[in-house]
Amino acid sequence: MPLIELEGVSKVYPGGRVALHDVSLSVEEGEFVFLVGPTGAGKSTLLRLLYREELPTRGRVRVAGWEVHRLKPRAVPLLRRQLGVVFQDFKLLNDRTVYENVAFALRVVGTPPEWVPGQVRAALELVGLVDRQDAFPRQLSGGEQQRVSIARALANRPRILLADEPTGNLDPETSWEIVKLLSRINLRGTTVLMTTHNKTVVDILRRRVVEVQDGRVVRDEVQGRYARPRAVP
Amino acid sequence: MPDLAQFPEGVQTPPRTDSVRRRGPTRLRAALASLAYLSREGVLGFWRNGLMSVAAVSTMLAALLALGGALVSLWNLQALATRVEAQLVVVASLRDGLSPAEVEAARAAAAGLAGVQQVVLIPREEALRRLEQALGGVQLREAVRRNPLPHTLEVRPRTPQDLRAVAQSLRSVPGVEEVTYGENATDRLLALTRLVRAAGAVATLALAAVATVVSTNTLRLTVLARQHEIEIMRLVGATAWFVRWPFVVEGGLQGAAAAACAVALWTGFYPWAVGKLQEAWPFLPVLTPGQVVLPLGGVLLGAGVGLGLAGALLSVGRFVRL
Repeated sequence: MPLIELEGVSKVYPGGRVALHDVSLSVEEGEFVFLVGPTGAGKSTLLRLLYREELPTRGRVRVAGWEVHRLKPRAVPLLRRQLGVVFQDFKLLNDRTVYENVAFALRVVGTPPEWVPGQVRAALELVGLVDRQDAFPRQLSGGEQQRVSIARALANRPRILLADEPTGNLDPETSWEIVKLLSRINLRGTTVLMTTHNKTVVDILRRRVVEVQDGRVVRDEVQGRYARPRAVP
Repeated sequence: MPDLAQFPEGVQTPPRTDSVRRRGPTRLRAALASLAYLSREGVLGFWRNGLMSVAAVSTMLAALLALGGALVSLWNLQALATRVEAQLVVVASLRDGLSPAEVEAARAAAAGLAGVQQVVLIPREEALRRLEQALGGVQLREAVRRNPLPHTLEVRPRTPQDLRAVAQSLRSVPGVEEVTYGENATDRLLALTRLVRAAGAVATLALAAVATVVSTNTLRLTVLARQHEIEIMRLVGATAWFVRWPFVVEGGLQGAAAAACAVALWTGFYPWAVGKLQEAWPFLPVLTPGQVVLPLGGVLLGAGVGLGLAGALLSVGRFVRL
């Protein structure tokens, strides 16, 4: 069974804007998928359906065995513990240290206190930020902040990592570092879905590419590039 | 960056937390640990959001001070009304020329009526003496040859509302000639005390409602200021209660802090105000500080904590509908 599966999913926002139109997509455990397409194409909406920030207007969404499209509100936290989510703007708590930001995610899901320090350290080692654990977010560079947010997303050892434009605010070199990190996380077995506008990264990595345009999947390639290959004249 | 392909070796995986319902001691222990953590977060939040806490506490303080004012006025008005009502009696004049035995029989009959609390016999001599006193010590004895006043029974009803019925049934007691209770004046007075009580209660309730609305709005601001934090908590899989609890603790603390200030202020103010009042109008019956301060403190403390808890629950509720 695929780890993530969308079947005939449409999303119409109140007011009539159609964000997704009859989208079907299936992702196996362990895959690394780039979601590409112009701004407003529906990539972020697709991710939001997966962690049930939005409900589909039509169609089925299955994630890690959960029927997300008809998940009861009280089960939503359980679904989200299977997912890590990373954003363009990091969403860190600025009044807490790096350590506290990561520990927060663990405490919030009821991790026994004695387990917290070890897990935080493991997550910070994974992203290479153990020596900055007492720093506050504003004392870190953009790339470091994004690594903290990745550590937080991974602290609960989710099966799936969703990254919505994780390199959107970063310079090319730092972007590359972040993508390499996500790639290594993927090698550990975590399924990664990443939306991006970063052509270079997609073209170098040559992973699965799903292109969304006007709310439809227009391309799905196993070792794809950022743009559809043009016919050679 | 170091090579990060693996989670470092030797790091164990903690017990999965993907089930909300755990069983037995594990569940209890986890729940206690979470509760301790959440309460600590609530207390920390109180300090971390210094300015917001100050805003919330001072708003609630203002509301509680007003509520205290309303309560103090209400209680005093009620005490006043009760005191006035307690002075209401029915006066039954006995026929002239009754023997002492007949007088006593009338007294006993009056005492046996329904709704009667107490009957005091005022002999005619005593009545005359009182009249003399009331007229400023005039010696009426010298002016009138014979005491013109009848024996009277002062009948105190159990409640002011029994007044009319008691008067009615007194009329049929043998030996009673005339019954008066100042019908019009008494009815008006009773209507007035009823009005005072009702108005006081309504004003207090209205103030309590205003206090709730104002506090909820302020607490909503503190929640709004931390929407970011709530968003992250929800994102990483916190349950609705896990998100709410720190705010509830924080709201309760803010309410308690506001209540403590309000109680301290009223405890200082009320005795001073009573002193000033009695200096100006010594005859004005006001409740003593001893009668007021303790119950007022209790009510305000309860109201403050209640306001904080309810306000926090109401204001965080709309952000935590998952």
